[in-house]
This record gives sequence, structure tokens and C-alpha cells, in this order.
Amino acid sequence: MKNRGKRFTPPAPRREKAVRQGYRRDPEFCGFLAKELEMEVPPESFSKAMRRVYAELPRDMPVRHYPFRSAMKSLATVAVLLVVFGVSLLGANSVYPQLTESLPGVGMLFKAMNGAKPEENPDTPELPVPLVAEGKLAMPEFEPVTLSCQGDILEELTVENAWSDGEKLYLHMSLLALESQLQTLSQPSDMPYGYIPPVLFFLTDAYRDVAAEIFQEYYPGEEFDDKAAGYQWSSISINGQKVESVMETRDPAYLQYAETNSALALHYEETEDRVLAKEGVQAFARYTGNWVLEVPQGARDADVFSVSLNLPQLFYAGVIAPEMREGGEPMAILEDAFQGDFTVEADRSGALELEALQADNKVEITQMSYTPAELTATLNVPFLGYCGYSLLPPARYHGGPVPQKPYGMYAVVSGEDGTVLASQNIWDDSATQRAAYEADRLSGYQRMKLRVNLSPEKRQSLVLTLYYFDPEEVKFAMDSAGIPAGDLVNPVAAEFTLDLAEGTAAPSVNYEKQGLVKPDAEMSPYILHHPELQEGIYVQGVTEDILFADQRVSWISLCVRPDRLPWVQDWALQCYIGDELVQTVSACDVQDDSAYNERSGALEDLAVYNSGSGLFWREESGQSNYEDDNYAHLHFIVEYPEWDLDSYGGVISSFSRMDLVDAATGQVILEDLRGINRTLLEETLCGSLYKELEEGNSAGADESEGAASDYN
Amino acid sequence: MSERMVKKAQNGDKDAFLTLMRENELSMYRTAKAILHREDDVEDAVQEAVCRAFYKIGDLRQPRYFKTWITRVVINCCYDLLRDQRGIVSLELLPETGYEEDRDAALDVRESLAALGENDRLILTLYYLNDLSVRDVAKLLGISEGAVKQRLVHGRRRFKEAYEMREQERRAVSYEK
Repeated sequence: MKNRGKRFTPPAPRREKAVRQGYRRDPEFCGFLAKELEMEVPPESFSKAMRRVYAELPRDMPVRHYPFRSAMKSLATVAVLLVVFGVSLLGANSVYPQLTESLPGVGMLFKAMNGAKPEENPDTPELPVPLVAEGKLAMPEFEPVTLSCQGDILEELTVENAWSDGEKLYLHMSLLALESQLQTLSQPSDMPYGYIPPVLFFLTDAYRDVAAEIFQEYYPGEEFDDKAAGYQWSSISINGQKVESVMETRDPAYLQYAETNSALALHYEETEDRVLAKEGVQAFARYTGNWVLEVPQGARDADVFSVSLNLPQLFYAGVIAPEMREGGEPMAILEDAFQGDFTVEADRSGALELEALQADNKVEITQMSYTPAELTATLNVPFLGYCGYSLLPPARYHGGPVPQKPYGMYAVVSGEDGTVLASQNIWDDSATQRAAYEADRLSGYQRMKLRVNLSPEKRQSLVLTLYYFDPEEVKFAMDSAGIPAGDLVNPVAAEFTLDLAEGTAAPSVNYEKQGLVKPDAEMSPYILHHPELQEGIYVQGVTEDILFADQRVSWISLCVRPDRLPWVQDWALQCYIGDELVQTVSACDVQDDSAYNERSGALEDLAVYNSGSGLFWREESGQSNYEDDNYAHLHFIVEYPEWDLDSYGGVISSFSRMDLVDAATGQVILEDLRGINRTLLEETLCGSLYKELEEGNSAGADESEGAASDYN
Repeated sequence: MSERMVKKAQNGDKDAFLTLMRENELSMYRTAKAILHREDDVEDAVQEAVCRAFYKIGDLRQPRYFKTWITRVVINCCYDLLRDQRGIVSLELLPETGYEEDRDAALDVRESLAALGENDRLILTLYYLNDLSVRDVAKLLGISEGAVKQRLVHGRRRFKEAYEMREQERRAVSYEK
């Protein structure tokens, strides 16, 4: 069998029983039925009506949505569960490793990864200072090596670039696979969710236990027998000596997963030129990964490394939890993968320690070193405010920013032409770090370490930019409001241009060309990072048509200042289709613990109030500005009426309007929450808010006390 | 209907979309007729379904489910229309034409079938006339497969009884003549 998805232990398929005689579909009865129901042939008037509607259809048809965008749009995909499981799975690992490790299936991979992650120890000596060599910009050329595969799914694996400083070997890999075949493998046929790309990885024999545990997660109770399962482990050798370990590189979330010690993983990429499902054209999924291998001791003196890749099987793991699947295979092996040899010239003169480091906007670089394959830096970042100050939906439920994650922790490394080469969330959530930071957040610094892998190549310069937040974390808020992600204005904390020829790093303003702003570090903690509240309410999130606990729902999150709304007696959400009120979700008395009449398994067993047509619960908010105002989050989950559901395509008619009302008096508190939400997000994420603030800051730059009080 | 055609329509090929619609005109008509009775309403509902399908076909994730998907769209359009007409009583429950001598017998059959209820009529139509599987019918209507089978058996028996009753009456009439 060539390259077919192969499951570990195929269950015996169950056949439908023969149709019973009682409802046999015989032509005689069908004819009789059609005649009696007057359905044999439609009348001429019907044919005319059809011709009329065909003629009135617009000339151009809307084109099918991009599958991955659809998946994101609806988070649809699994609202809460897949927020954890799918989209934020990888990123979440860096923040909540215990959570990702506990996930079914892929949790074991994370466990292996995290278990192998070196502890951050502030006492650890800095890396040895690399040589500053004359030929620091020179590096050996590497011709890409393509290994082809004669299979149905996998197409080719390319070593795009390779570089070694003699101790580590950096490989930049890309894999092409047939998208449609992967979809067939990864998406159960009946799942209404969007396409969630599977995780692809190679396993090495050092991680046999990991494979066994993954197997147990997916096939509980079945015996794991790797020989019977037909595992063929991957191996890599350098100058005939086996590579013992894969170095972890701590790249951005997506790449971080690639660098697990458990596996040589590859990551799904969306590319502009990817052609999906076009007639006659095969669509390829592109996966990439940066692998960092440790050169075996016995080979380190060599000038040329002869690398041998033996990757007989590519492992595939879906990201849908087994209990959520209705079919399809959660895990499989793609056989007949890749084998090939190539050489890499050792380059021991390519390392550079940058000097003359300058600060930008109170952000200081205390150390920075560069090789063609890696950039490391230590940064002191001042307190600029917390992500919660923006009032964007919190990560816990909506994939938004972690409320108490400080601004300025998202680092992007770009090339001379602005191409993003790597990015990394450098937020350190260790208890020690947090405690020190909390104690003196205004005058103190957060010490951040950055280490990203780059595709090895010659460069004259690099740009390092720190942004306020990770765009992936707010993407969901934008998607759900229908705001194009391209309109995101992510404020800049600091920007540096690294002159690799001179070995220096200095502040720069490339971000201005993109229309971005850099709020003043002194002012940032004191200013509002969200528009003014309407009636004491910020409509945080309106997420429509998502699947939640097997129900099609819309989810509305409000951030409210209850002290500004003392007159409201009974909060309720009213939903309309057209002009017809079709659903009302009532809140309960939040002061009365017994009012919460249900626990939601989909919300980690949270106590909620079920009013029959949806859920309500209230939570206390994290900080939303420096004054620590007391905000509360009100959540409404409203179910779509049964008659509005499409068994396969979801909701037929979304709610046309959702209003917040006081059910006791019938008074409308806020009308059209969706419209308000979009306006607020546009102001927050599309520039106008920060541009106004920037103008305000520059006007009052010398009067920080006065400006601060103005904004509050 | 081929999945290829559905994919073409999803990629913006209007001709492919129209082909799909024409291929499914009869089944759309029958589905709507099972719910709505009035020809005008049937036309309105199916026209609306075509329009919705035109804009929503891109959302269909599995082309092979096109037939059940379009059926669901039609059903939803019918229910929308019924909601809009709430309170308006249909005057066209009786057949517009028919041989006078068969009228009484036809009424008996119709009365018998009317007792089936709208859902049973819809189930019979979807299964026997539109060739959907028991499983698809169950999913479409949000009921169990067992319930579909039970209703199919029940509905078929009712039809059979009505048919036999009418045949007996016909024979009796011709004997009297």
C-alpha cells in the first residue's frame, strides 16, 4: 500500500441491516404515493417560477470560503472546546502547559515537549560570547535538497536551507502534501466544523513511550504494540553517527511545537498561492519546520557534515478530541515517507555579538547575539499596561488576550524588506517573574529572553519589533466582528534595527510606514486602551453561529460597570430574526448563589443559569485599567431555535439583531449589540483609538500628570 | 448530481449551480409540496431556497451531502413561509381537479393521509420520492432513525389501507352500474 493513511487498529466496519420489508422502496408504491400526493410532475407554473428565479440570480456567484478562515471564523468549530483544542492549542502550551498536557491525544506530545524544556533560571550564565569574526556575513551556500515520495498523499520534503556552527545543525524543512487527502484523513465526514489541519511529525525511537501514550489516548483500552502497528522510527545521522537529541529552540508558538524533543514536527502554513479545490488542479498543503539537531561529539571537528535523513513514516494526529469525533481516524501513519543524504559545510565564523545597544521607549536590550540561524536577546521591558486594559475578550473563552499579560511581549523579527522571519511571545508567566513584576510594575522592568530560529542565510540587517499583543490572540475577536485581520493596528512598544555588518542595534521607526503607533511608555499604563463605555457597558464579544455543547448558539460577552447601571433590575438578551423576537435569554440574580441552576461541562463545570433558551453567568473581571475599576463580565449564550437549524450547514438565518434589555421594565439598555461590538473593536483594533491617543500624548507630553487624569 | 458539479458551483461556476438546481427541481418541489400544499407557496419557498443556496453553497463542507443540504434549505424556507403566514388558513387543501366519480374516494384517501400529519407526509416524500436514506431523513428532521422507520411503516400501511378501500369502492360502483 502506497502512502495511505493507515490507522493503528482498524475497527470492523458495521454494515447497515437490510431494509425491512415494512418500508421497502418499491416502484409501485412510489408511483402510487407520488400520484396521491400530486407530486408526479410539477405544474407548468412551477417551471415558470423556476425559470424566473434563475434569470434573476446575480451573474457572479459568491466563491467558497477559504476553509481555514471558516474554521477560524466560527471557531465554529468548537467554540470553547476547540479554542483550547485547536486554534490556541499551540500557543496555550507556552502559557498553560499543564492544560495542554492534559488534553486528550496530543497532550502527550506537549508533555514530552514541556518535560524536555530547559528551566528558565535567572542565575544561568549567559551564553558564551560568540566570536565576532571578520567574515561574519559570509556563510557557505546550501543548495536545497528535495526528497520526493511516490505516494498518494505526501509529495515532497525539501531541506530548504541548512547551516551549522559545528555544534548544532539547523535545518529549515518544508513538506508538500495533498490537501484533499489530508482533509479526508483528518476531518470526520459528519463534522460541521471547519477544517482543522492535522499535526504532522516524525517520531524517533527515543520517544517510543510518547507514541504509546498517544495511542492510549486515542484508542483507550487497546493494547499498544508498535511492531504490530508497523512503526518505523526516524533517524538522522551526521558523518555516520546518530544524532542523539533534537535541540529545543523556543521559537514562536507554531514553531515551538516543531521543536519538541518528542518529534520532528512540521507546521501547517497558509500560503497565498495555495490553490484549493480548483478544477483540475491539485491543492497542496504546505508544512514547514525548523529543526535544530545537536551534532554528535565525534563529528564536531569535521569541516563538512554528511547528513543522512531516514524518515520512513510520517505520523499524523488530528486535533479533534476523540470523544468529539463521529468518524474518521484520529491518528494515522503516512507510509513511504522520505530518505536522503546531503552535505553541510561547518561555518564556525558566522556568530556575532551585537554591541552599542540602545534603548527605545524605555525598552532596553542588555544582550544580543546573532548567527545566520538564530537570534537571541535579553530585553528589559517596562510596564506598559495589561492586555486586559483593552477590554478585548479574554483568552479563557474567546481566544483573546490573556487579561493580565503585559503589553509589549510579542516580538517579531523581520528582514530588510519587511518580511516576517520569526515571531515569539516572550511573556514569562513564571510565578517568580510575576511576583517581582507585580510588586513594582511601574518602575520595574520585565526581563525577557528572546530566542528565535531563522532560516539560515546571509543578511545585512534585521528589524526587531515588540508589539503590544500577539495578533493571533485578538484575531478571533476581529473575525467574529467581521473585521479584516489586515486592519489590525497593533501598537508598538519598541523597534530596533540590527546592523549585522556593524554589529549594532539602534531604535528605528519602520512601523510608521505601516501606519502603526508607539504609545509613550510613560503614559501607556495610565491611558484607556478602549473606547468610552456606552451606558457603562463595553460589548466585548459577539460570536455568532458557533457550536457549543452540541448546540448552535451565539455568545455575547459584556464588560459592565454595575455601579453605573443601578436602575437595571433584570438583565435579559433579546434576539430577533427579521422583526420577530425569537429568543430571550434571561439573567439570574447574581447575588443569589442558588439562582445558578446548572453546571456547564463545556465551561469547566462552571455554575450557570439556564433559562431554557440559553445560558447566563457572571464573572468578575481582571483589571481593565490602572485604576483597577471594578468591571464584571456578563455572558449570554443563546441557542438558535430548532426550526432555524440546518443539519449540515449550521444556522439558516442568523439573529438579525440582539438587544440588551431590562426585562422588568421592558426598557432597552443597548440596541444592536453586534453593531456596537463591531464599532468598539474597530476603534480599538483599527487605529483610530491609538491614533487619537498618540495625538493626545504628543500634545501633553510634558504634562504627564494632567494627561493621565484626562484619560481617566 | 456529481460532487464535481457541486465543487464547481462552490468555486463560482453559475452554470454548474443552475445545473444542480434543475437536476433537483423535482425533489425540491416535492419536499415543499409535502409541507405547504398551496402551489403558490411551494413556488415561493423553492424560489427562496434557490436564492439561499446560491449564496450559501460555499458553506457546504461536504459536496456529497448536497442533496440533503438543499433539502434542508427547502424545508427551512417552507417553515419560514409558514411562520410568516401564521394565522392564515390554507384554502387549497382539497385537490383542484379530479374526476367527479373519484371525488369521494379521493377524499377518503386524502382524509386518511391527512391523519398522517405533516411530518409523516414529509418523511414519506423524502424517503420514497426523493430517494433519501433513512439516516439522511433522520438527520434532516432531527429525529432518530428508528422513528423514521416506524413512521415509514405506519405511513405506508395507511396508504395501503386507503388505496385498498378506494379500490373496493370503485369495484362496488362499477358492479352497481
